[in-house]
Amino acid sequence: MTHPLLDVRNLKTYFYLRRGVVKAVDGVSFRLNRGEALGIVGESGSGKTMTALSILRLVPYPGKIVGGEIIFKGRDLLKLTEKEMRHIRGKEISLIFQDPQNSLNPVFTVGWQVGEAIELHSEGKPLWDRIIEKVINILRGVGIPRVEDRVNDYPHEFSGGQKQRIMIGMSISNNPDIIIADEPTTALDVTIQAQIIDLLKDLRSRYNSSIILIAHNMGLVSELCDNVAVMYAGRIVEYGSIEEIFNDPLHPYTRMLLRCIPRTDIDVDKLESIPGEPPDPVNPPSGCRFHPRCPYAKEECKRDPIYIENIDGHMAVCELYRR
Amino acid sequence: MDKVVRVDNLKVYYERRKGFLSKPQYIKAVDGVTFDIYRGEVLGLVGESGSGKTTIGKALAGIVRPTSGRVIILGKDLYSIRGQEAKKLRTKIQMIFQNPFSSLDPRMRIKDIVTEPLKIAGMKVADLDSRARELIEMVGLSREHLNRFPHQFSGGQRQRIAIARALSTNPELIIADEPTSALDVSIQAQILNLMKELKDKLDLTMLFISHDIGVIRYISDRVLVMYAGKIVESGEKTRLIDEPLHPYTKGLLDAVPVPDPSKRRVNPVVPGEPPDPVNPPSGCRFHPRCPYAKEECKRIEPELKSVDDDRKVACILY
Repeated sequence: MTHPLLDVRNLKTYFYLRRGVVKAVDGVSFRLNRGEALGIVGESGSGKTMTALSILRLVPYPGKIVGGEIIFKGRDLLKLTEKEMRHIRGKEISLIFQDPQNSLNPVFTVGWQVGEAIELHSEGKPLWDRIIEKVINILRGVGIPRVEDRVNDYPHEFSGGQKQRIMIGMSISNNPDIIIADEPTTALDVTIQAQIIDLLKDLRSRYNSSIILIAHNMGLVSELCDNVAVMYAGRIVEYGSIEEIFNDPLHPYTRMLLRCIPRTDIDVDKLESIPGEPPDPVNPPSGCRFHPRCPYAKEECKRDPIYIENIDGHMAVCELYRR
Repeated sequence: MDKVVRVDNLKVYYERRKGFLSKPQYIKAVDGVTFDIYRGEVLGLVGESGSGKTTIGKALAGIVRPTSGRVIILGKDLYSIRGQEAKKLRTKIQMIFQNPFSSLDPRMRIKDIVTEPLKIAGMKVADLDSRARELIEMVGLSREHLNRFPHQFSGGQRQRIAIARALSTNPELIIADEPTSALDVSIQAQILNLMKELKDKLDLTMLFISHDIGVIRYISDRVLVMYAGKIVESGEKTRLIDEPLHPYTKGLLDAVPVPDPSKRRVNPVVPGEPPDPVNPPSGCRFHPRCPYAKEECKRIEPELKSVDDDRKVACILY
């Protein structure tokens, strides 16, 4: 078997607050192969964004990565120096943020900003004209019309969809191995969202990059990804191929989550809803964190350690499957 | 059927000046919209951002004065009546907002939030407490919650409180503007189920505004589709969503990702972006993005015409 491109093992990212410790990511493990698109889904507070930020070691204060390994191309990213890490960020692993409005700098032209990303990761010091040439090619590739006239425009002169295209252009400017897209279309309208998804699909087939798509929208994940990890309260509760997760979900949370979604393609009389609310992150329930909301919960579910069922890579963390 | 709302050629333009001395520009948020809402129905209003759906909601709630056209609610012209008559009509119209974190006053107790519309309507103070208890239980919370403050509740619970407030005056019309889009799906499902249940129990009439077609399909009876300030299509929800007629409705429905990997989108996506609301395209506003556009589409502004009993489309193809 070949080594995966990225191997996250037992990652733990905790936030130390006055109220107590928030275990935002609490023992997350997954693998990502070259060319694979992995979706990480979950509701707000499930730890999906913190998992992504941990990979790039960009966890904001007072958060800290307290355990685990992130093996990328044979090296543990958690053991690198900050300087070495800067060569990885944006060059080998890049990040597309949720809100293009706030992730571009309003006082610099877009050409300058995309160019900066290229210049930082170039050998020696290439001429700015050469860089701008490259920027124009990249922005044309992500579908910005009349690029030559527009490289010297400022972010506010572009629409939301175009800004996200520019962000994507920036993230692919150094042909990264992995693109992490954190809710890349949440701020956009559906027709624009569909355009951005097409762009990501196209880039993936053109450059064979791996994608980690962080999303709360199950439809989006179904549209783009090969494999899915479902997160709940800081842990992965189910992992499987897109068909396994959507056609044959094992974990009660995944099943209920899928039935909560108001569908555009079928009429339903009553939506299934998950009773209660997600747990308090400072005091999560013992054992399976979903047990207080789970209709199948048994006594064993309250106890640690939790049972993991694994059939050919389709994994569910649930007592239901203990024989 | 009994009409609760009649909107007649409604136009709402917002004025915008680029500089102090420059000529004003007009953002045509809503540009000639006509529709009715019948008693006991949920009318879904769907469209992308900037299509004018929130402005319509505000015009119906009495918050935004129309540039021209009329809004008739319960037989009265909302913007020409005055004084007591206007006050009485306005208590019959209630609104539920998108963001439950900013729509509840953080310094008020829940019981005061829920009964505030009743105080304005002139209910006796002695009756307020029992009404507050009735309302809070109707939305699935309990009496103990009445003395707490908004920050002690989660997003879903706050939206329940906002619903209780909206129901307090037994309104004839409820305007819900994206009431679940700030919530997680599992909580959204709870709120949608609650709204549906209350609608059946209390026979509510509702204008439900959303960009999410799944939500619209679940909650509405009839749907209006808006694009750039105009209605492009209207009809009964199942037929409209399963067999869309207008090319924009088709493109919009196609663009929605379905949580089923066997139903990945195959059709090409609608190209381009929504138009500038200051200078919308001539003729049909969708023509620059429309795969079926012809020469006439640039000249002729299509009217919203009935194609059969309940279906209306604004497109020269029909």
